[in-house]
Amino acid sequence: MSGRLTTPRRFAWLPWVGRPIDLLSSLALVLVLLGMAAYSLTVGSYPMSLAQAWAQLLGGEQLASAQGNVLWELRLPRILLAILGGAAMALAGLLMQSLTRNPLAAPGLVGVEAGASVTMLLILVIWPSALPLQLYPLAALVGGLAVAVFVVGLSWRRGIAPLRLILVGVGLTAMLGAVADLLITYGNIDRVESALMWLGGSLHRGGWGQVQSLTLWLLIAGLPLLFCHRQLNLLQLGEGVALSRGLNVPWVMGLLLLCSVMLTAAAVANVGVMTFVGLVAPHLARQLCGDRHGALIPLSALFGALLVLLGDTLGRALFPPLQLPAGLVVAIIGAPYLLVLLARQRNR
Amino acid sequence: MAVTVRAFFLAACASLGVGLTGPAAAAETKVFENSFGRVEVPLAPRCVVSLHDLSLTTQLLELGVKPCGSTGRKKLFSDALFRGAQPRFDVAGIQYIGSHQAPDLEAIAALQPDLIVGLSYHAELKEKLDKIAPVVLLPAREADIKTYAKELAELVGKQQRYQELLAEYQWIVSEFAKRVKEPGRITVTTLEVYPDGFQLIGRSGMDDVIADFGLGRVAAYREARQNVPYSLERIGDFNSDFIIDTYEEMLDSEAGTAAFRSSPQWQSLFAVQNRQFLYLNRSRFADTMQGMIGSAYLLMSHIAERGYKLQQD
Repeated sequence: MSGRLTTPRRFAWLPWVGRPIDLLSSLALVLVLLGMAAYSLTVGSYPMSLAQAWAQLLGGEQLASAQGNVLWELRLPRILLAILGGAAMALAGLLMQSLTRNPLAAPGLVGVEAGASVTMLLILVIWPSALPLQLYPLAALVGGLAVAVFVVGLSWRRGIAPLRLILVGVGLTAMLGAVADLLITYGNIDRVESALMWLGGSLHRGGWGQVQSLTLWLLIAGLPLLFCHRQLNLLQLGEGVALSRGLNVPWVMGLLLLCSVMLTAAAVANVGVMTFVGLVAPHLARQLCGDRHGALIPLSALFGALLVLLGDTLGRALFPPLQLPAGLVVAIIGAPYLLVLLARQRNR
Repeated sequence: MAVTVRAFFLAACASLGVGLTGPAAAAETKVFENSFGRVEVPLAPRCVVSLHDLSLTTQLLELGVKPCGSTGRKKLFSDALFRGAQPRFDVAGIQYIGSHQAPDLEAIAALQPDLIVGLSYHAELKEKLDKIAPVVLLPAREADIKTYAKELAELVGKQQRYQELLAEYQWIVSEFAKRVKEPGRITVTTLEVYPDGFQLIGRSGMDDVIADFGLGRVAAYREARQNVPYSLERIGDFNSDFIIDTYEEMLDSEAGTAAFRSSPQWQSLFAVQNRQFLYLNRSRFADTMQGMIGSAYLLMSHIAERGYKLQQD
């Protein structure tokens, strides 16, 4: 039975998820994600049962308008944002780990996260009236992309050199981290508090605008990745092998790096800093499918979505009406789990 | 987007749906207008939610309105604290709705308020809050205390109470003017000392009172920016006839800043050497009308009703 499930290319209609077991894993994760989303619909300071939430989703005109407002304007966009943000961060992290062939790589490696963070801090702490609220995510995106372009430019040597990319990224991230600390330490306390909530990866301001924005970026930079599993598998084997198999390495790496940067910047701009998701979600996915990117890409996205949704749901449920930022909750519950997984791997 | 998703969902479920409905309409309404815009609000609000405890909740209580919900400070395993309001007012019945930077919108919705009051930085939440109840933003950060308190009083229909508070404050100002003929000659620095430096902050409306009393400031203070941390080295620049600092009992800030005040730089200040350093409880009053009245009485006692020395003499 297990042989049937793990045989590659067993079914012709499974082009990406090459093995039946991968399809089963994906389906199981989708079900868990849907279950978590359904549970999340009932969690919050406003009392609402699953039946009431379902009735509202079906267009329950007879139900209280306040309930409909809570569901459609507060909970649903927040849940979708958690799913989309988690998936984007996980995909960005997976790309960075694959491109640098470094399992410790995270989306923030090329400085995009730090660039977006510092941009947002500058806006939130120094010039809160400089931009209309609607343009905050775009500003973070521009800041993140600018830093990423700078890092890639500095690490370019007839193509992207993974080691140089890591070193330059670490250096620039440290510098931007110092700028962020400076702004937090010496900024106006009210504005700093607001910025810290955002830095913690909080979704409490999430709305349909952010859902729309993140959906767009996932379609542009996330969806095409499903067709890049072969290239990623080859890159995983090293540049030499990839070149020998006819891969235009600099071009492919540049394109994939751009996708990672766009996903990170979009996620940071809309849901805040959640580096840990980008680090841990691909590792969790590898427990199910190893390094086969055909399965790793969707499974990482699903794990990322699940992690952030879990973090946000717990953040809302633990100490209401106090809202713990999802990014912090994910790090608190995810870090020990990652350590256990890695310890298990070492014992094999 | 919500409508799109809903339409998609409804179509998928083959069900008939309706658009979202807004907040329950109040019986009688009026139009309130200030620098942040025009809002239709209930004439006599039944349940007011305050998004800032220190400024708005306390000011509401001073005006005789108990909000049904308020933001506050809360540690994980302790009760919420409504700064400025406790322990002066009975806060039983005020529902904690989260921190002022990240209020729980669902907790607000659960209260079914008919009016929400916030500060300018809550503008980013206004679109969502508007779907719960009318939202009025007040210029507590942008204008002086009298201005925003007056607006708040108009909003909740407590103009008479505001006039009483204003009259008492203006009486103190006139009494001070009677006793101190040239207040501009007296320089005052309001600051807040921390273990590693200080900031120029006047709590409890103290800076408003100093301005209304016509007291002077040293040149460095006039040119300085507020809310900027300064190191101990700069303290000499703010050497005034009077120096006012505040302490927070709950944070044990007096003990935490003792080293700063025992430093030679601090000890050499004119105000310190001439016992004209005032060390006041920062939680006694808030940035409200009664806060200003309290601060005005304190300055009246410590400057107008005692002998003092001036650097100019």
